[in-house]
Amino acid sequence: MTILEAAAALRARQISSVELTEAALERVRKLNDCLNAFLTTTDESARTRAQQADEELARGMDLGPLHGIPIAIKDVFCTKGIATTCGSPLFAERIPDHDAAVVEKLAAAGAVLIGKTGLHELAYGVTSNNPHYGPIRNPWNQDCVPGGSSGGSGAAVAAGMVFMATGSDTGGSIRIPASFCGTVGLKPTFGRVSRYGVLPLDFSLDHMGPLTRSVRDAAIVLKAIAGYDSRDDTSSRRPVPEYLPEPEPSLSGVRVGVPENFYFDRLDPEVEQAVRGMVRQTESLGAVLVPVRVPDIAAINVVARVILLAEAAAVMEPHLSRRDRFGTDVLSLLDQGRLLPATDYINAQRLRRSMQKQFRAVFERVDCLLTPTSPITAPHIGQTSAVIAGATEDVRLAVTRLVRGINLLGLPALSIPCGRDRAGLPIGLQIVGRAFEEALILKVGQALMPMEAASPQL
Amino acid sequence: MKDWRQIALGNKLDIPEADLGRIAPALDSMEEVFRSLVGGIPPDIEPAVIFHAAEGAE
Repeated sequence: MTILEAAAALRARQISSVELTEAALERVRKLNDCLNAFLTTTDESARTRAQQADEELARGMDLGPLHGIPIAIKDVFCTKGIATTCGSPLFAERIPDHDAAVVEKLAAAGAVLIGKTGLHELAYGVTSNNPHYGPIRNPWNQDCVPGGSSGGSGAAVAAGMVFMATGSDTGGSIRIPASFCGTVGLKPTFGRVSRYGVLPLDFSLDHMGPLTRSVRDAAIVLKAIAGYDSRDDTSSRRPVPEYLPEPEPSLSGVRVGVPENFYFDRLDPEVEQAVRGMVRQTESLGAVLVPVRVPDIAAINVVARVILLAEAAAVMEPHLSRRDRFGTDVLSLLDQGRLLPATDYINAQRLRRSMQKQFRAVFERVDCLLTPTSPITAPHIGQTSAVIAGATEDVRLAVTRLVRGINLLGLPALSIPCGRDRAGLPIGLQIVGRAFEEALILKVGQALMPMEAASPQL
Repeated sequence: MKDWRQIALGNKLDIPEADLGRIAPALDSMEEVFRSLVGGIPPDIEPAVIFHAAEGAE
């Protein structure tokens, strides 16, 4: 069931928010021992809020489609009075005295928070194999990672624990778990959704967005959480448009860019086959396919890495004297950041501006780009390298290869499921749009995936 | 390539020798690409960082 279907059922009095919430909590109780998707559940406050939502809807007070819908929040978003660990022992005891902007907006939209989802330590990694809180497992194959860093959110949504969970995305952390878990994941344009109240990993690259089981649900959530926030210096004052696409939109006249370089290099053959199949489908839906050469994405990725390494190390500098409080992989990245000179950081920020100008030219010819989200499907827990098209590649670098550069450019990107490999693991398609044109990529995503995402047998 | 051990020592960073050995290859490969890009930055390109002289300005 999707958010929109549940919202209709609530208003038709076929189901209550209390029943939806109890079902979600029961699903968490049943599955969390094996998936480890949730760090905290908020059973009592969820029941109280659900009861309120039922009463409000009964007396005609309607806050919109999220009213009474059970959701989860990644444990990097501050929640007033509820532990917010960031997946790290550094913050294990932290109880914020305020909500993140996204949490405020979801509460104002009437959503029912049932808990906080687990993540890669400090949101700094792609596996969600957390040394402090245990590995999060992929609902499609529990020996595999769910992706990260928003791995608990991906697993929770895919497993049907909640209708929606929030994610943060600095180098693919919404889109990667969406791809590996077979859900929809939306990274909005930089500045579209406030970052206030989220532990920063990287001031320049952090984006907040939803993971859902349908494209229309992602549009609903974006509408609720987007908008100007004076507490976030990068927040945009642009008006928030309507995002909800028609159930079966036409792609007539939409110019879909198909990269000739980089994005289809070194892919698992099953990933390439599935994504190319979707590309052909856009044409059958009326889109015009435009082959395009994109700027040097490998270089863009390196610039993004320099900025991320430096900024994340700066954020964590006060804690780095306690090396035992960090996992090996995160500590390694923080150490790399400490070794970079300030001149490299400044030059990376200058290159960012230069690359943004280069990339703008691509979007003069096309309305969106279609690419794979990840060159591989979900790796096994503990796997550090993968053989892709005959070459061995570090899992972290491989999995971020097709998504990281989009964070540097600040462009909106949507990941939708586009099939499964022979092992039954989901494959993701990435749709990248112009800045602030989320409505277009949601329309393309909805045309390609008009139904709810498939669910694993659990 | 840069001597990451010397940089760590010079900056008084408490990074153990074994950890430095693990991260050096990653830094070396990044450095190779990054250095070639830096040479091509036009002098008038400013960094993409944000600062507003007045609070609330955009």
